[in-house]
Amino acid sequence: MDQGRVNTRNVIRISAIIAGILFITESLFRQRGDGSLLLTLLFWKSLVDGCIAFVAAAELSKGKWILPVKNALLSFYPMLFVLSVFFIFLLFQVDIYPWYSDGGVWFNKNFFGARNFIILLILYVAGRKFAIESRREGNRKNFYAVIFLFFFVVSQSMVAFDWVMPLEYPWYSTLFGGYHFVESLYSGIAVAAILCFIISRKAAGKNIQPVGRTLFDTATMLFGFSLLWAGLFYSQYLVIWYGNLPEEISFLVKRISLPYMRTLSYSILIELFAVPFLILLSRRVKSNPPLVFITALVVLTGIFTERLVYLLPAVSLDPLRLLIQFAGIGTISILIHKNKIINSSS
Amino acid sequence: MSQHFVFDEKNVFLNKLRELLKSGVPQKNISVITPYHVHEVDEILVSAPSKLRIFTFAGALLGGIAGFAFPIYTTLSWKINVGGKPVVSIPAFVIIAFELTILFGALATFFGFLLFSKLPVLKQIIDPVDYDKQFVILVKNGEK
Repeated sequence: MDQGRVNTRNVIRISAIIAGILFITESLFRQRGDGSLLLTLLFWKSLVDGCIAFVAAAELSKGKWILPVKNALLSFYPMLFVLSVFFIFLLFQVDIYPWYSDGGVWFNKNFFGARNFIILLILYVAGRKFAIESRREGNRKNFYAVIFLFFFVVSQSMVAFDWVMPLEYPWYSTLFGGYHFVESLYSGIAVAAILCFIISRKAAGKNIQPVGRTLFDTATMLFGFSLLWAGLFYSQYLVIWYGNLPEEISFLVKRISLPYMRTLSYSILIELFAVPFLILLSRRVKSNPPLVFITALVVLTGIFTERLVYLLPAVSLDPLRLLIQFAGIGTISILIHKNKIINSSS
Repeated sequence: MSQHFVFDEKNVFLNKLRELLKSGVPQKNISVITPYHVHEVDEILVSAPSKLRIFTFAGALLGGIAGFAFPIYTTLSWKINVGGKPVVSIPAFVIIAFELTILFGALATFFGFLLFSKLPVLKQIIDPVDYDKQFVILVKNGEK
């Protein structure tokens, strides 16, 4: 790991170049009504927010089991700012929303952009303060954790209610925001499990703090959250299914009537509940790093599939641009991660 | 021939237990009587995970299957159309299956626990000697 290659100025330069490339790709190659950037942002925002919220929740409950993987998880906090910048790119693409042609008081482009951007920036500031204070083990860490968690819930609920729900206008669901932020926390735990696996691979043979108990505890949390997710999903689904009201059922009908949509929807259930629940049931599996890693990957696939199922009936998607966006944001997050890890250990 | 060591203090008792294990006494010959549950004994005398888990799992599995099988059987016997829902409506039956899973799992655990503790026959678990507040290590000499 060459210190010069991953220093902060280089990371900023490379991130700016990637952002520029993405901006050019978006302005040149995007058709009207295409929602690929929305899909990318939904997925990455879930992951990044969930990582830091998971650490905040563990620190507030004085959990020592998260310490080996804490710095790795907290290193993603600059991504909160990167995602805010990419949200500005999304503001050029609001023609995916049905309110684009005739807006109102709440749904007009300026207010939509302003309120979401301000909440994202506040989330970044709170996340940054919490991450720095937590890394130093300062004594205001709990205060910043509470502030971050509050804005985490507000921001994730805004993502659900503002970015996703209007696509299906006039459908609404009051449970949508709560369900969304629990999914974000779930994906954060999956990222923690993946980081545990990576650390345990690197630690094999070297004298780095062992992650055995952390892996076990993270796998237990993943198992518990799969149950929690299934409960929340079911509570939303059953109400809509049982009532069978025309204004509510439009959301479900579009997503389970066509054969391929039906397959995708069932695969969400399998990836986010059946697989983690059944695999992580036994105690031996919870201490087995490769199996926990594979389960966490399946969970992240489930999160992505769910965002896909939200968007597919409503917007068009371009696989090539999706790939470019994912590669771009993934590269930036890996660079930021390496940069923060090196700076904290030096 | 068996030895028994009686202690009044927990730490002295634990140290003697560790010393006994280190000196090579096989673990199955050691049994311990304490006035309350001492956590450290679980870490020192490591035993295999309890077989009660099998009872819980079997009960829960049975509950899940019964929770689906029974409503499906009854709705297929007397088909009623409730508000346009299918006769065999899986989302509605999930609630019943979930509740029965928990119920049967809990009942199986309870009865398995009774079985493993050999309750309600008290004679097999009450020791005739009353040790009151003391910590006791009993070492059975297993050689014939």
